[in-house]
Amino acid sequence: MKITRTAMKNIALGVLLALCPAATVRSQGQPPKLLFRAAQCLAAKKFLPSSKLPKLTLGYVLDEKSYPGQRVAYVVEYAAPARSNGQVYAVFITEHDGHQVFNIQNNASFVLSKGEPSGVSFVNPPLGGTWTQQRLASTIREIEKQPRFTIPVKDLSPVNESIACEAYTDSQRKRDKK
Amino acid sequence: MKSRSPRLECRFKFRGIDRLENPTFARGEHGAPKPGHLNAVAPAEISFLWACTVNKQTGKPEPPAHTGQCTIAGACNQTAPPSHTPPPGEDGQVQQKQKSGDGQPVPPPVDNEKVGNTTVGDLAKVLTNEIGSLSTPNGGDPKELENGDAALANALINNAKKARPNEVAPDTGTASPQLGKAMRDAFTNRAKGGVDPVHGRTFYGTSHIPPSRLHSRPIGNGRQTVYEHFGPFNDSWSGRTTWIYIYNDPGH
Repeated sequence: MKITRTAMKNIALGVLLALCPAATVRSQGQPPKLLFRAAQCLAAKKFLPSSKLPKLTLGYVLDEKSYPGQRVAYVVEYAAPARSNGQVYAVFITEHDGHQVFNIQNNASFVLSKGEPSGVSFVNPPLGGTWTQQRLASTIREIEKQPRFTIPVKDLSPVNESIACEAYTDSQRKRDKK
Repeated sequence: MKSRSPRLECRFKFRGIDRLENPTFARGEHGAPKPGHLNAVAPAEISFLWACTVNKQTGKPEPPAHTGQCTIAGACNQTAPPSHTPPPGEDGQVQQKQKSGDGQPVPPPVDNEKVGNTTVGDLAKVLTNEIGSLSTPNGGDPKELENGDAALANALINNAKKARPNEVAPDTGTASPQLGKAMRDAFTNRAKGGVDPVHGRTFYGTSHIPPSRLHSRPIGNGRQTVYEHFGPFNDSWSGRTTWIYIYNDPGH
């Protein structure tokens, strides 16, 4: 059977239309458990900027190589679903007494910038020097290529009982006590 | 400009002793090494021969053109090497020539001193990873970078001593001579009861935002204020003018 060029175009268009909703679902589907819990801790420690948006747009990667022997979730909260600027957080994850501990160790606000050699400009700087900023910048670019997830702000509390939240902003006394 | 990368190869040899040590140069007033100033911790009476030379045309190290004799504590009887800025190694860091029997560089003894759960040598690697890309701009005062190095070295020492240290860059790679020295000097100064220039502070950062516009950074429940800043410096990574910032603890 001879397939005409028009028929081929129609088939290709049909396949594209079928895939687009799937892609949309993927970017707005259920967030991974790790990302959701990290977001809960960011909210609990008041790191998320106060926003009237009912939903957060988040991306993340899990890094198990940069810090030998440690797991770090780099989480990006985008200013809006279609924006490429926002906040980045470094959340160290450990297991302790059957609890998963999410320890927020860094935060910064950024904007993607072609004028920067790293492709990222920190509007509000993170803690740390060159190595830390290199790592954050490359991670932000990596997350930019990953799916985005939306989480309703109202779902972030109360924090799941199986996790514990810590942050560098905790008082040293409190941190030593834990 | 990479003032921290190597352009010299220096060979040190103890007279009558097979073991090689690993002294490093101290930066002089204008960034040049001080003749005979070595910060290796070793018996002061040990004298040794040292030889350094660099081909001014190629910038590459050559066999020693001259040797002088000196003591660790005393002055050498040779002239200073022509430059303190060595050529970059493959990783852009210092290629120490002092080797142990198995070919590994021998660190100065103070590098093995414990600081919390880490060591002075490992903290020097962290320091290098964090600010090794910074250098003094043309016309700038090298002392400013030395002060920034010292402030950050002390902040890292303070952090390492905490029961729950903040996360910092990993202690991978090799410490640069200048920053290795900065860390050893900070540790030695503190061990002698010297003043901590950052007064216990542990938080630091670098930024291309000038001090006139960076007074604090947002944190979870407020803002973290700047305690002190150093710069401006050149940053070979970002290509931008960069400052070192020491931050107050959150809530202060």
